Amino acid sequence: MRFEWNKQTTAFVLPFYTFFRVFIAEDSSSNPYSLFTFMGMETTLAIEIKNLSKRYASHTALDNVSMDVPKGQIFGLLGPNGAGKTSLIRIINQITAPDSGTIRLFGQPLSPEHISRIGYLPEERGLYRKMKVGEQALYLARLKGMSTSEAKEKLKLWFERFDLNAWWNKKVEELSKGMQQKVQFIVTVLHEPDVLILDEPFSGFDPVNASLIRDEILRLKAQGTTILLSTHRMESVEALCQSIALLHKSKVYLSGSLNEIKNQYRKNKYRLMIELSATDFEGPFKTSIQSLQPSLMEWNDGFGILEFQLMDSSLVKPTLNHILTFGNLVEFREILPGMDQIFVETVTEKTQA
Amino acid sequence: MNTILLIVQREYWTRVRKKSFVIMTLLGPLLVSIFYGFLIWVSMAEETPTYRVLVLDETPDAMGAELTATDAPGLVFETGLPGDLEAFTRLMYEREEVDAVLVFPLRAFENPSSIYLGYKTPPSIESRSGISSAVEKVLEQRKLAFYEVPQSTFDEIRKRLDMPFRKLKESGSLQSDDSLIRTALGLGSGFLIYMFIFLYGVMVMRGVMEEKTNRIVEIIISSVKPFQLMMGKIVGIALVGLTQFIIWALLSGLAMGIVGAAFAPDALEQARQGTLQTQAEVGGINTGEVLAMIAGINWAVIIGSFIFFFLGGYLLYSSLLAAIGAAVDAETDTQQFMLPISLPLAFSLVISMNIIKNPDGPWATFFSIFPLTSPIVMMSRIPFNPPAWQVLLSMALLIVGFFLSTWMAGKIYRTGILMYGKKATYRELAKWLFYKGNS
Repeated sequence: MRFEWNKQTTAFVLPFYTFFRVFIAEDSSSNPYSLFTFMGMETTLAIEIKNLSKRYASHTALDNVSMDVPKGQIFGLLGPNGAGKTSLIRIINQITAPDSGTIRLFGQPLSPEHISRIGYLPEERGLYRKMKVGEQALYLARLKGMSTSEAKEKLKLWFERFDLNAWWNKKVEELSKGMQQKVQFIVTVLHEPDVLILDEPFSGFDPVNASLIRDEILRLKAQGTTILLSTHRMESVEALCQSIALLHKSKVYLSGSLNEIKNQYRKNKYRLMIELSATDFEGPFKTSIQSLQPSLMEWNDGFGILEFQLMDSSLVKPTLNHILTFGNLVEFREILPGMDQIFVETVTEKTQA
Repeated sequence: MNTILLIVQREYWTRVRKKSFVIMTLLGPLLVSIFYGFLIWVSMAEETPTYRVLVLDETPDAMGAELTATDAPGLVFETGLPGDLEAFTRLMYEREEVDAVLVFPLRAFENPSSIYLGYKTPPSIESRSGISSAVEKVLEQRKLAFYEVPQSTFDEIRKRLDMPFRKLKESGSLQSDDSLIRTALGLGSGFLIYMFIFLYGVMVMRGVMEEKTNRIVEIIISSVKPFQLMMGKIVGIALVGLTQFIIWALLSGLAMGIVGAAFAPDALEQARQGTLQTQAEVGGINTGEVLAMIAGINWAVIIGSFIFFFLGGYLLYSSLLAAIGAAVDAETDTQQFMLPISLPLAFSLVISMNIIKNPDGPWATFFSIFPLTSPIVMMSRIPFNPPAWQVLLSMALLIVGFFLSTWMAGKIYRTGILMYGKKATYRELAKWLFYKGNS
């Protein structure tokens, strides 16, 4: 009997093929039904970067860089200018390719299909000045793969939220700098990306708009978006990020959760404030704490203030008990190292080593 | 929807809707004709300054008195003044308006080369030829009288022959000579291609630079590949160019129709009176013949190859210009890179003007096949029906050339658009060519 492909054959083969496509095939990226997902191989990492290197003719931009960005977090990519942050971000955005190393996004090797799942706000950013605001936003949204009607609908909501409705038909050059930045932010997040990459997002914003953007970032995070925040400003990192990686001279110097890192760099330094009269402070109090070798010791308007370092955190309790015999405790806290301090320490330490 | 189509769409629409595009497209041909009309008017209306010549006549029979200044405008002869050369010279320098002294020595008729002009202010080329022809005319009249040749005989001898040139076809029939029209057509379309390549190529370069200096480019290439962005822009602007060309062609067709309708009755009237007949007899070209010539040209081939060579040349050059736009930070930095691009273009224009003398010569053949010059040079040859293999080879090489230039440009472009504050040099560009990039 001669074999002939006909309707029956199709009917027979199709279910098997569909099963394979839906549940097995690994290349079906972002496939929520993949068996790998059911088998618990679903990763908790949004971005996995392994041994990434990128060299240009005269310098190395990335030297064997590895880091993991956990899902649903705000991840701080830190480092001074020229450390390689932008090079790394461009590779994640598939603008350039690495010389070696791999990147996985939600467990899958980075591929062109991922482009629509990433939102990117570059450090060097701008808009077509002569193009109308609404038209431009629509164009950029459609480049990310959105349909016109969907993009329009979402843009309407965002424009309302950012109070930009009156500007839809204006040219970009007629907008103030702050408004342009808002439009820029909208087109970055409009397609509801799973990963949002923000390169120095607060630069160029006035304080009012900066806090507006900060709120939006937190709102998106609450919705489950993973956010990669690249900056050299440490203070915004401490306020927003759960995890960080510290890039310096093309290498990763430090990475992990912010709390862990801070714990690592704890110096057992404490600050204490106690209700105390001036005479008591100058007299018995001062002499009894001399052994602590406080770095700060002053009396101010009825309160004694003390900063000191202990050999071990187990010494906190006895020390505190002793001090409390002199007066009521107003404040006691551990002085944790700031990110900038950690940064400086790490860099100098590693360069010396 | 395909992203490259989206880019093409944007590039096309933003440009076509611009006021400057609408104005240029609708008024462009009008402005050009006004401009040329103005040029012609200026050259005609310009007042020629008077060139005053004192005639020093030493001939016994007053030859100089017969001088008439008819040919050259502004030429004035003053005859019949007494005195010798010394007196005339003094007079010339005394009277400010006098420019020269024309000397007819005693034996001027027997020895015409002894006649000369001594000037204070040098005569213009027009005045020179006017003076010589006036003198020649006097001599001519004298000689006719001397040799007793009647004027009518002389006119008969001097009658000019306007020999007709005809194409003798294989069938034995004669066809009117249309090489002039073909020359004009070839040069015209070559020049048009030159203009279009420049106009739209520079538009591509500006567009790329705009995206780079606006800092929007990184946002876009996080959604599409740099190459797609570049090609989208090039194709979009090509469509703008085609739109403009088609509108211009339609408008000039319309204008020619109107002009034709206005002048056609005149031509008919002339024909009835037989004036055209005589013109044709002496070898002139009449309107009917011109129309026949225009009809005899293979317009499908010409328009087809025009569009091909325009697009091919444009694609080749605009990709190179896109690379330049990507490499620089500001318009002023483009100069050094523009030269090697405008040179072959200008060169091919010069070549095509010269090859008209010999449309099938070795140089014409070579440059009409070489990709950088072929769009213009081959287009100038097309009306002369060059061998088919040459046209096909030229087309094939143009396609290869354009793939090559786009590939090169793509590499430079990809690196250049993200490079700020770095002064691009040729060496730098060469390095960018070999960077490992995406995909």
